[in-house]
Amino acid sequence: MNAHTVLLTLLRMYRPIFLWFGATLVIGAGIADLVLGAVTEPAFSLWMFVAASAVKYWVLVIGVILVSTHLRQFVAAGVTRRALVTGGLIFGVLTSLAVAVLVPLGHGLEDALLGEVAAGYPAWSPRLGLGEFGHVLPSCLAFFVSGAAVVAAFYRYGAWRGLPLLVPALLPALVTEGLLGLGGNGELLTRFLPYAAAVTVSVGLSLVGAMLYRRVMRDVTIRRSTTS
Amino acid sequence: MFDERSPIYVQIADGIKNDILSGALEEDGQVMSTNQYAAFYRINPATAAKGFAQLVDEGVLYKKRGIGMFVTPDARAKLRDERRKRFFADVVGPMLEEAARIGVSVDEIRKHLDGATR
Amino acid sequence: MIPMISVRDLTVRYGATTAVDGLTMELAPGRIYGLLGRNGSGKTSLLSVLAAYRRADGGSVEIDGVDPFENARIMRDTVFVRDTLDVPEGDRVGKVLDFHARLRPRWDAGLAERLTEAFGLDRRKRVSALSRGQRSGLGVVLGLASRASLTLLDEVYLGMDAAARSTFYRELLDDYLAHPRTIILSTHLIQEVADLFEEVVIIDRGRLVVQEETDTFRARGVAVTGPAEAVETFVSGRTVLGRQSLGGVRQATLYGGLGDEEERRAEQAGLSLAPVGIQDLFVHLTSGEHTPEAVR
Repeated sequence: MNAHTVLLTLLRMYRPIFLWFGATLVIGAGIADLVLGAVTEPAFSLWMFVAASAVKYWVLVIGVILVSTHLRQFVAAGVTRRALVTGGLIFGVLTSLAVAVLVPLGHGLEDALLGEVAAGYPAWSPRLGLGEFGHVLPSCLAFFVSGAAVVAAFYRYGAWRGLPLLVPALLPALVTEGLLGLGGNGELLTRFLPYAAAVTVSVGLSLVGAMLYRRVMRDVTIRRSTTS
Repeated sequence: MFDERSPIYVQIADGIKNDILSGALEEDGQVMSTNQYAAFYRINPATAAKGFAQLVDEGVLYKKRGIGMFVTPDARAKLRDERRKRFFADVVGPMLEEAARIGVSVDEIRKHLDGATR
Repeated sequence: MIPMISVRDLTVRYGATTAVDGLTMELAPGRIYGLLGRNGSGKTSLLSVLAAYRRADGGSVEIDGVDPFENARIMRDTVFVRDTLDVPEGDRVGKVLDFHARLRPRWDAGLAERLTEAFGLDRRKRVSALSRGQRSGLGVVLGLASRASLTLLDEVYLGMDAAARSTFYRELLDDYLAHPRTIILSTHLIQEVADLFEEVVIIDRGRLVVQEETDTFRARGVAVTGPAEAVETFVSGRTVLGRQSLGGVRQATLYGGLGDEEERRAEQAGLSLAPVGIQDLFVHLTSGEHTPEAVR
């Protein structure tokens, strides 16, 4: 059973969840925007306020579930740890890409909806959209990897012995959060380092985190339950 | 179905022999396959196969390659001869011993048998 | 015999506890094995290593000549069902079955459906809502319908009533007859399944005690009963698994069959001989009065 099969299975498994989640979010924000636009002239982006800051936590949760639920489930169906880790990482990257596209897309749609009626609305442009994509993607990747690595460390070594690994495992998410961000109103935040350097550091740390995750999972024992 | 006293394959072989003696299995007739036997009696097929192999060794069954197992034409006669030889030693002997232990005379036994066969 | 499974000096530890202690054995392909042992004897640990659920701490395990750990080909063709069902608790039965159907190359959907019905499982029910017996039933469905070359079933009958267990044994045998493969069934309800095993493997305190054809093993135990003195004279020099006395009468349980000559000698000494049930024999062998080596 190879990583390819794992990836396809995960995509199938999460497809309905993604569709429901995405649809609820887009429709919910759309309706809220219509109401807002009718009663007032919003000077902020609801979409960026609600969605943009949240997406990294979704992928973090997926990273966590990969270890806490999918590891046992897939190995019990005859899949190697290696295949699960590789397939899961690719799945995490694809999910991060998808949400990184979703964020500027939603902002653009909202702009089309409100940009005309609300003068103070933070306007959207394809250039800004590209910047949003460039900020959301590394942050999602980092959160995904950190989520997976932290749980893997605890799953394999237990609460106390897993503790030292907490630092390198959390590093991608913490550093990326410090360097790159989106403001509550969707403004692009690039701190301490120029964008190119910040992305290089972030992606580099995520790669290291992914390697740590892979290493910890390589010969992990499949426990009877996540807690014991 | 099977008891703990002897290996199951021996009990299987004995069961088939009894079926041949009673006529339930005809000479040259096909017997169940080991798998059918295993499924019917809920036992491991290797155990059934062992019982069958013993019967082949003893010349009670013979194999037709690719078809199955059959009862040897003279199996019934052979089994009867064997059992007859052992009848007095295995059945009558112990009975007389028991009779002697509890004071039943041979005459009494003879009378009982006359009554039973009349 | 070309072994399918070859275990050499296997050691499995949990912290300070040694669960499997230098175990060595070889199993031929295509047979049903009964893996017998008391709780904590190391059965589950042994099976976990065979299933590549964990690495050995010492020694080696080979399946088809290679280490099963992280071997994609071996793991795909091995199924391990243990009492804690390794499926997401929140999933519905139907989803669990579909998941395994996708990942198991030889999955038999028809068999899965029949078994699901036989064990009274509702496809729409969540795993967390199943009773203990139904969970076991689901485990059996996964174990049999995967139709893996190496099928490891670890005390999968927990919580099943007699009828469900009987269904399980029947389906196991029928499917094995139609699709012979290596099945290792660990249990301590020996009496009711012994007839299905081609061989029994008994382990105690992480060591191999007996590996033998079931029929041969069955004939190993003899209970000798009679006057205490006569019993002791007769059994001296033999492996005695247990003794019990009532007044002047003693019963000794011997390990190792008796020949015709010995049976006659016992009879002359006024002793009576009786077979020992396979369950009793197992209890005697693992009751802790003997080191496992004593009977080998």
